[in-house]
Amino acid sequence: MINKIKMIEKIVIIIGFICILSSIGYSKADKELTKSSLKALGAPNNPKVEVVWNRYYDHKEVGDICERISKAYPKLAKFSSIGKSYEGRDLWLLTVSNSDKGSPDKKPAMYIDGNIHGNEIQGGEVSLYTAWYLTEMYGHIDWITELLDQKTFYVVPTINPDGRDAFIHKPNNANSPRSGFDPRDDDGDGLIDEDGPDDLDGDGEITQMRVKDVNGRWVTDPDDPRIMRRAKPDEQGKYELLWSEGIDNDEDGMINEDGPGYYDPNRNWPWKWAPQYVQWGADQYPVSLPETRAVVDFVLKHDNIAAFQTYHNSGGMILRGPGNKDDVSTYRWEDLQVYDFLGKLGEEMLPGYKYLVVHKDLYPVYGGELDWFYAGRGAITFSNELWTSFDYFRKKPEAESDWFRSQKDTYRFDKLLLFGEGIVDWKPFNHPQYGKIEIGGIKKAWTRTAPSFLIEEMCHRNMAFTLYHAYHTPQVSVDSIYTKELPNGLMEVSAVIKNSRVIPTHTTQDLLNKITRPDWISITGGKILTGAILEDRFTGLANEQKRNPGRLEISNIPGMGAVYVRWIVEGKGPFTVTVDASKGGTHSKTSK
Amino acid sequence: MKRLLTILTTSHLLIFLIFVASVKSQNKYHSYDEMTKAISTTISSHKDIAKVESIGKTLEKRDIWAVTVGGKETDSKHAILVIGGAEADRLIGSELSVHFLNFLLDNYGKVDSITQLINSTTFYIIPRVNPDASEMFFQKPLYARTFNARPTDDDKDGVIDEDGYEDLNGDGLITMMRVKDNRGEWIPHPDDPRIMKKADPSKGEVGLFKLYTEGIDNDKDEQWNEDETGGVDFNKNFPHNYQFFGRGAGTHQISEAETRAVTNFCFSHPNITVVFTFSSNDNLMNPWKKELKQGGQSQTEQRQPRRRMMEDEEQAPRFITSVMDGDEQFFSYISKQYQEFTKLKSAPKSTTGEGAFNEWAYYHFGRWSFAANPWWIPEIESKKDTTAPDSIKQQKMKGKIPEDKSDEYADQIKALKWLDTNRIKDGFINWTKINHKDFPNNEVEVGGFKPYVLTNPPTDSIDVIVKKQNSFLAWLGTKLPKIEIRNVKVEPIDNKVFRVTADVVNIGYLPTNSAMGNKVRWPRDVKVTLDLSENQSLASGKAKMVLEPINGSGGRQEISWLIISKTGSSVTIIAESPMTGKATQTITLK
Repeated sequence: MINKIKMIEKIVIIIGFICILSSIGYSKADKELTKSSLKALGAPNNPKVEVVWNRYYDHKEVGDICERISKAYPKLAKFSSIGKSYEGRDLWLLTVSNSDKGSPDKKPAMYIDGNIHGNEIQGGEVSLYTAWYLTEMYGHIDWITELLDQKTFYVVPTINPDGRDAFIHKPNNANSPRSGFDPRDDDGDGLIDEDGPDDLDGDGEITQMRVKDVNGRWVTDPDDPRIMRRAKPDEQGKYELLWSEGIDNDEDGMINEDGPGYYDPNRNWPWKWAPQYVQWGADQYPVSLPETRAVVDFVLKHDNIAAFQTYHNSGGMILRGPGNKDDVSTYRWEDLQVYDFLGKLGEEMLPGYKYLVVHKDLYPVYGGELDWFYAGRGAITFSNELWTSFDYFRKKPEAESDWFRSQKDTYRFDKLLLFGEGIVDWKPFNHPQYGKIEIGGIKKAWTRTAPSFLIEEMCHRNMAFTLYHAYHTPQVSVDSIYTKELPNGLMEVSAVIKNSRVIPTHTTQDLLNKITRPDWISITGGKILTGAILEDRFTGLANEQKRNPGRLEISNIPGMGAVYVRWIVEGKGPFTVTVDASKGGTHSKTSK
Repeated sequence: MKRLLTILTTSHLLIFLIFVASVKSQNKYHSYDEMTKAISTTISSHKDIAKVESIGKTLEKRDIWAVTVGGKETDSKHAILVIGGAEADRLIGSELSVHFLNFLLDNYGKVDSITQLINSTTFYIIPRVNPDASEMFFQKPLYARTFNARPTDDDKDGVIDEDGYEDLNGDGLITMMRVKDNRGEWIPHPDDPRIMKKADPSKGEVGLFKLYTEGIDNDKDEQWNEDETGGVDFNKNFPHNYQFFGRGAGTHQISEAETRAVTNFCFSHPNITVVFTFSSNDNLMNPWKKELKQGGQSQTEQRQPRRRMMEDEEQAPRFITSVMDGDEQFFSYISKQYQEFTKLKSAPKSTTGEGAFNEWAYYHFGRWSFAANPWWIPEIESKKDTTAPDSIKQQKMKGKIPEDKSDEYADQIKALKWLDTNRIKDGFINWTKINHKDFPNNEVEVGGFKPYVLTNPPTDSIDVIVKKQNSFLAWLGTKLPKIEIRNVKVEPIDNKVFRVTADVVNIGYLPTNSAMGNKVRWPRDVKVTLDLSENQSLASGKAKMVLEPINGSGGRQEISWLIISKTGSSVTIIAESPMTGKATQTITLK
């Protein structure tokens, strides 16, 4: 009996304990954080949408965060989808702008996407952080408030959601899967995706296979025996290094030669696309992939996009085109001034990142996303390679060639700061084709993605760079209007039309190829007799527009510059002058 | 001798094809609805060997029809894809595609050679790939549009389709408009004043006219008809030699419902071995020739200094812009046969395509791609030359004025002569005065060639063309690669190990893959599988392998294996590719 009561007591206590535990859990999710007495600068003090920025989110969680942001800030953020992936996942879009201050599709806009390569996931977090930060800080920081009043951000956190979920939920290594999941016959044997990697030891990672072999040419590193290195010329070998983890599924003598996918989504874009024999991963034809197509169709419907940012990993780079040297002449001097201005600003804001040119500092790319955005749409575009080995110990590598990856530092950082969490130790395994082997090596979440405690910093610094880029998209305004009475009841109306930011309303690429329409400067308030664009405002040298003088067509309003226009009008005014630039916004002013 | 043999072979084939039942004469151009009905009627009586499906819908909601002829397991036989209407204003190609379909179906089960052909080769026929544009042939006012219905801002002024054509003289046609104006650059051609030519100041010619297409300046921008309805030309939307920002090229490659439908059809049918396109971008009268810089660098690189090129050699892209070494001879041979079959002569020079389908089919899709220009203005014998001014005619006959080959108006003059000789009424609308509100103070005349008259033959000459093209296409169908396994040899070694050797032989004419196909990788090469049972194993050789291309006409690839096996058991060798069919041989090891 006593035992029974004790039992009940125990059960009650346990239940109570569970309740308390779970209520702690719930309160975290449902309630706002308590406001801190000393606000740490750089983040909202008690955000409406609480997001933890020290972890990675799968496709569903990305969608949930987008939805929470749009529900908390319906005026500032709209949640939608621009299309579906091959496997049917949505390409989520957050449109961030103050919709009370004009239609978002009419404002100068910045498009941001991430994760085009399935394994390069953290672009998703940086994109999400950007939308989150902007909405949370609106009304708290004047600069941000003005930015969302004037500009629009189209944020697509992942444009390869199939690859993202595969990377997160399926066995992989840090470099896989780059592709999407539309099956392809990689080895030309008529079968599709029949021999991918296999997680032989069931740890959710695709690591390396090695076999003990005195005739092999590999040894372990004495400083850290987990590291494999090539034997020196006169050194006795101990191991042979085999393929990445897997078996010969189709018994053709090759291991892992036809995995899920395979193409490179960043070689599928419709500018200077090149077939497979020139550019590996190009796939069948430009825009053959549903994900590429969704983005292309979205972008073609939004002439207001004046800036693009895409996020990749890794290496710490702020990249611009051209992707290949055939396009060197496409990037002309005027536009390079803008690129250099922003790129150098980025280098200052992102320690360890370098402002580089794809074709000359990296490798040739045909049909890359950033080249289509610039050359096809005429908008300034950067692609950041997130996470750099500079962040291991924050010292510049001794030799330039070590910049991208230093395997020893990778293992050292793992040992000192991750306490071994990033590496799978070598373990024996009985392989159906190789016999007794060992499996081990670097985990998928290490080397190309930042560890938890560095994610938030990566997000914030990259976002900040992007916000300056967005800030410098063209912003046009009617600066001033002057009227002068002429004989016969006529009036001369002059106006100064200004672009107060660095990027012109038409980049040179846009201008030369007429990608977006001319800017329109119109006047109302009287009978418009003539209209002219002033070639020289001091001498008054003017070029008349014979047709439709009430709406002047201006090919370009330069960055930090102005154009001068003049009408002869019958009437006394007041006159309203409106400038309407597809990439630079609209603005009106009325004369006194 | 060699030539004589060729002629003998072809004439033999000709005789063999003459017995083929002649096609029903249908001397007309079919509107989309008529064509749709004609196809479904034909197919409904041949359901056992033909089917039609829609592979996409245009903006104006027309289905793009694809017909499959071949009976059972059509996807596992090698195939010819026939494309009509790639140039939407050349309706003749579209008509010929449907005639070829009728030819196949009418003769199946009646003419042995055609029955055999259909049993061994699949034909995919997409007769009208850009139906919204081709339909303009049947509408009024008549004008030749190659653009699909996609609204496009052709003049990039921010307004879409705001300045199209108008029929100002009410004849139901859109022709040309000339305006008397001493600022104009045009004058009547001295050889035939109906033709307008640009005044050549170096010859002392002074301009008298401005020349426009027929219409008014709807948007008052002092340009006439610069932004007509619609926007993308099917034959300018493919990625090979695509013209970025070009008129009619589209916002990007394969951007349109029509081009996407055809491209996806191609990729989902790996058995397509030959692509045949009716197009003026012809390579049967003008076979593709290898350029000197074969497999060389893109033009930008060619312009770069030599030192730079050497440095960048490793990174240099190898864009292929002319027919590959290994393929040229086959294009050349097939072209000769075509000329034998059709007896066609003096074809116009073929132009290099800019985003053209038939070039894409070779350079990117990697298939043998043939394009036939079915019709052009025929040559006129000199004795019929009655239109040129007498003085010039006499001088020409005496050989004093050499035919000026470089005269860009020669084709138009030739066309006028042809119209006159054949008494084709209204082929050219004579210049007549009209009142034009855009030119109140000038004399304006409307006239010029009737739309389509230079690009499509008169209906009564279609039958002759049909016969020529059909017999060539049927012959081409017998020239596809086909493999057999031959010369199988088993050598026992101590009755425990067996050395097996076999030849995979291509008994067709074309190689199992083109050099281009091998390069672009999409067309599959022959895969050989050795099917072993459980207690057999390999001591040498591969159980699965993909072979390099094998030449036709008996070209072979020898394969050998060492098999550890009990004596008396058997193994099976399988060789297959979608473009060659499948060959299987089971052998006993003893």
